[in-house]
Amino acid sequence: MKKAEQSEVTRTALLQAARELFTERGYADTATDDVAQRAGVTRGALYYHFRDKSDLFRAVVEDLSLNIFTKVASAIQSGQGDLWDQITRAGTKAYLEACLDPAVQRIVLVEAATVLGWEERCELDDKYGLSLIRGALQTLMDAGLLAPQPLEPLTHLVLSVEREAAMYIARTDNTVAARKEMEASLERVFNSMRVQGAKSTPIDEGGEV
Amino acid sequence: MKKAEQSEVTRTALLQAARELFTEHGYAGTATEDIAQRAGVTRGALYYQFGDKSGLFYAVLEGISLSTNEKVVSAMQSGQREQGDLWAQIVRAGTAAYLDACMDPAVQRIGLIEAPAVLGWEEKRELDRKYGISLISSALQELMGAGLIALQPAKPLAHLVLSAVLEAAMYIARADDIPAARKEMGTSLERLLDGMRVRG
Repeated sequence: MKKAEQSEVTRTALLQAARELFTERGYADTATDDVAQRAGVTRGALYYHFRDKSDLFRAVVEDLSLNIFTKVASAIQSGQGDLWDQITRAGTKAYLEACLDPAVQRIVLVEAATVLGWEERCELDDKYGLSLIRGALQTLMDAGLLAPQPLEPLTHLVLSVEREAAMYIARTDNTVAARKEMEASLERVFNSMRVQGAKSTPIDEGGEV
Repeated sequence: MKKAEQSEVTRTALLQAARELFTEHGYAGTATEDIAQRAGVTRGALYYQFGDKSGLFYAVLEGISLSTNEKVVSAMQSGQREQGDLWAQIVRAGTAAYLDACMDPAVQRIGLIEAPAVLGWEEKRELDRKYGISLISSALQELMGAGLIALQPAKPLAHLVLSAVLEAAMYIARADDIPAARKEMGTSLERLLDGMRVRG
């Protein structure tokens, strides 16, 4: 194996081990020693790739966020039905599904805001969640399905309700029932934003997201 | 003055001083010594009443949450005494009262900017839910009872509405141009909530 490849393997193993341990024990109770041990590498290797524990945590959050972003974007592209359903229904469904992962629940939904601090979390939101929603809302406005209005405040409101839905589900004992209930509530909220009587075509006949 | 009264006076003075200093300098930039000094009491009195700086911060925050909650409830109730639409009374008056209360610099700095960092996201969320969920749930039930919102489970919807309202306040508190953000976000939130109204 080439050196660059070996380095990538080490990095991936560290991210994987860190994700598992942060999920099982939380950030505070995970030592970098344990992460290195589980990844089967030295502590020196860990510090070569990541400045410290919080840098490693940030990389794990970023990894998980990118993964959610990709799943939602691809669900929107391949969603069934008209443009409205593709974006609001398929997008929401994919997001809530991704949030059923215990790693996403503990690391992204709960600990990220505390460990990274508010500002850094906002930066990550902006890079993934907000940018995806901003684009989706713009597409709906361009298609005449959403009344023209300032994009930025609405983008924040939509991200906050999506995230709340995910957190609500993560906190109940019966996640299946909670998910069904929350999905219905979200759908109602989104449908109430739709311009009445507007015709909607699927994405492949209409615009790009 | 009786001992219990004296203790209450000290407590109130400390809460007031802490509220001012946390608003001016933030949590990290405020020393307990400065709070005791501004309140005109000893540091011992501060620790006796609140345990430590974080205990005092939590008490200030609870005071802010409670007073915000009271403002919203009273706006909804006085709205209901007036003539007109139930929707306007509950939804418009309630959200406007909440966003207006959040224009107070103390509410912005302590409640919206410092609290998530100082308490941790989880505890901040719990506090918001303690005050917000029952208020919003009962408002939604009233609107459903009047046929203004389609019948549906109130609890998940209350969580969604609360998160939108809190996000609106956070967005405004962090904006460079706060009055412009208040106006813009107020309109977006109103539009979102108005959409839920049963048509016809």
